[in-house]
Amino acid sequence: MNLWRNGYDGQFINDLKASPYFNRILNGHDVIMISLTSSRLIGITDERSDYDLIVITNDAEREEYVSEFLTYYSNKVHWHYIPIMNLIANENGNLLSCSGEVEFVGLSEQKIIYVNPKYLKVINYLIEKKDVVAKVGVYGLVSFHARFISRILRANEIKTEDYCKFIYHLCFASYIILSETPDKNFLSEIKE
Amino acid sequence: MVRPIDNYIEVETQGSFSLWINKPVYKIYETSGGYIRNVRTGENVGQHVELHMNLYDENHVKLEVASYEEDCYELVEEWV
Repeated sequence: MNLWRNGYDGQFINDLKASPYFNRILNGHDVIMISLTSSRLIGITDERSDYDLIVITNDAEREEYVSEFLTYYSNKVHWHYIPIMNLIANENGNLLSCSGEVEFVGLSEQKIIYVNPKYLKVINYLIEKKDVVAKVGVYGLVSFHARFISRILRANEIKTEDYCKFIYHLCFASYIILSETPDKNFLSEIKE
Repeated sequence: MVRPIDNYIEVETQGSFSLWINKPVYKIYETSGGYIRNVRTGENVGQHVELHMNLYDENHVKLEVASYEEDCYELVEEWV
């Protein structure tokens, strides 16, 4: 299903690749691929949206905390290093890893910033299986929030104290697992 | 108790990108306890801790001093 518009991210990608800061993102890791992730991968954005990048590596460990970021005009640019085995196995993940994997469903060539030619077969396989990666992410996301989901289901309502961004991520995940076209207007409203 | 808190600083700009690097600052809590009185109302409001809070950089140089409504409360009797 073709859900994802390229929008204006193409200019950002071109500018980043030409920027002297691009090498900082590679930062000595064995990088397989860099792409957009989070809201820009799935087209739920406005002019204030950050640029989140997923840096898929062949490293053993996930580097969660990066002590620097960029700004592109007034928008933040963050990057997250994720070992490729985390994408597939989804073990020892957390909210960020699960959300990133779920949004992988929006991956397309237009959203990819860097490809390591050494891993071209792996990358093509990931793109071909992006729906599977997304569903593995959904499983992880729902597992992490099982208590939260149960509380809402028992109450049969979403109470004010339950309002949080997890609901946005879980709603998006539900479209994936049900193979439905996400309602972007609805998701944009609840994201705030 | 001493702990680092994130403090991102813009270090340079090239083209349409700027680089921000985290130079954490350290927050040190000093506590004092005793009977506290509100100087505006004269009301004794009981005991309080963490009356003062200072911010230090990574070299432990004091950056600013902030106190919990410093101009509102005074320590009437400090516990030993």
